[in-house]
Amino acid sequence: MIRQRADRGLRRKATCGFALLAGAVLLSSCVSGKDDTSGSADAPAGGSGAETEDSSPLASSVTTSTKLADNLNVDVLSLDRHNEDVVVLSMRATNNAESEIRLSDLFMYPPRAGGQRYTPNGVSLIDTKNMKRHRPLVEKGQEGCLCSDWQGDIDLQSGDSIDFWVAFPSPPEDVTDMVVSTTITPDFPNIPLKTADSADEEITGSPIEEPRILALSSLQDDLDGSSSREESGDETSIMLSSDVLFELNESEVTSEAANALESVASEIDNASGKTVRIDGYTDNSGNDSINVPLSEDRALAVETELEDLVTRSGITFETAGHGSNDPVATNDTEEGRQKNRRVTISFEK
Amino acid sequence: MTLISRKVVPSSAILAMSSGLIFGIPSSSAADDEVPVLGTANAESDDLGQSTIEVNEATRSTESDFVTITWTFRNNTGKEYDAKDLGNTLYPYNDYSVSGVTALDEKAKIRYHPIQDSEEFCLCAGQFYPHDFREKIPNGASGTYWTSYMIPSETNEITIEVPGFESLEGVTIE
Repeated sequence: MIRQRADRGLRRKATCGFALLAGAVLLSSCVSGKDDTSGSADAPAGGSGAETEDSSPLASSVTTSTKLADNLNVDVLSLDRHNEDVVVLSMRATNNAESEIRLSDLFMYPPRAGGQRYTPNGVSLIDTKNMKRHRPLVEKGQEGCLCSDWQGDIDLQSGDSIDFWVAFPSPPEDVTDMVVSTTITPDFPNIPLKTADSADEEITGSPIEEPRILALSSLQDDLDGSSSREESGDETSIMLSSDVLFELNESEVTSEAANALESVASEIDNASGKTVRIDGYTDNSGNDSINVPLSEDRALAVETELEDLVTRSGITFETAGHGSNDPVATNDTEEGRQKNRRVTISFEK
Repeated sequence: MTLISRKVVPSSAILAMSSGLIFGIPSSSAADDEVPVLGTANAESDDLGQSTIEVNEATRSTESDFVTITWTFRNNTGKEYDAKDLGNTLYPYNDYSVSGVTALDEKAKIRYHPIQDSEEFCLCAGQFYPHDFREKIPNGASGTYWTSYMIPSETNEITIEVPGFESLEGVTIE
């Protein structure tokens, strides 16, 4: 099957591949682009290699979470820096099944979170060095992404393929590879970030809204139940169980708590943050007229211990009690309520 | 990084279709064999019947902590299964997803929950928004999903825990 050759036109329209055989019936309901005088760009100009018919993809999906499973193939074709602010991803989806698949919403984000039909705005890039998720760039004053759109193409027919591209905010200069995340495929790891031979000025020159780069975090539990933590790219947040640190309704630290606090102090010593926040919380039982001061007293008690244990100099402690506010877990189960009864120690890594 | 090449429909088949003949389009019937299986776990909970979980891939992104597990739910419950039922019951995640699938480091005794972004969306199969997303698995069929975790690079073996199933131990991270 011959894939549509890349036209570097002004309109940003994704195209479907179809067979260009003499006299053959056009099978695809997708915009063909072959007689489209306004041209179509299924690959951005100047890309590092997406437009070459023979170039192999950087990565191919093992399978998809769609009704077609591995009969739908998703390829990552290229990932290029076009300038210091903009990275362009190009991809291809190919339908190798007998039946069609709904294309209009295949790669879209949920509508209530800014998703747009007929676009790939549900695709994101993960910077695993800094643990950030890059959402697509959005053109100023618009809602859709700075990306392909396949307006009007509802289904991807059997045997057809579609190429599309998405522009993203760049990661820092020292990032050399990223993960590509879509709505329907396992994350593609280790996609090399190259530099475009030449920037596509129609893309890089588009005025854009504020870039959306979201921090990632990971919740982790110690199996003995005494602590959990939340790790992000920049910060560590250790959540010590109040049930271990204190007797019921008390705010004096127990002797069992010593090990846990020594371990936290050691982490603080090895970190770089100059400010350590200590926040006390309770579950939602009882009432906050008691819970707030109790959690504040507990935060202060932990601060007293840590001040003695931490050896790195120049550290400032900030404490607060929040009562039942800002639960980290559900209050609907005992397991969740136990997680919510905590003192959290947070600092920059 | 394994690149699995995919055959697109040969042009001879398209020519056949365009001239009105009905030829079966070769589907990649062998494709199921191409999805690796690293391990299998049986259902523990009664309402999951003879359903099983398979881990297909466990991949780390370069030298980072970012690990993605690809896994398959084979539905033998006797009825349709909704992947929404695999949401995390301890920590809140935005919208429906398979956020309840956790990774256990048996040696360090740490349980990892899937990564979330600052809008609390899971970095895992979720929202189930596309019309043809395999959210509901017919009885006798399977659905393949993924979950991503921040697992320190020193950890190269984990156990995958899917609610209602036995733990799937000894998964090596590539």
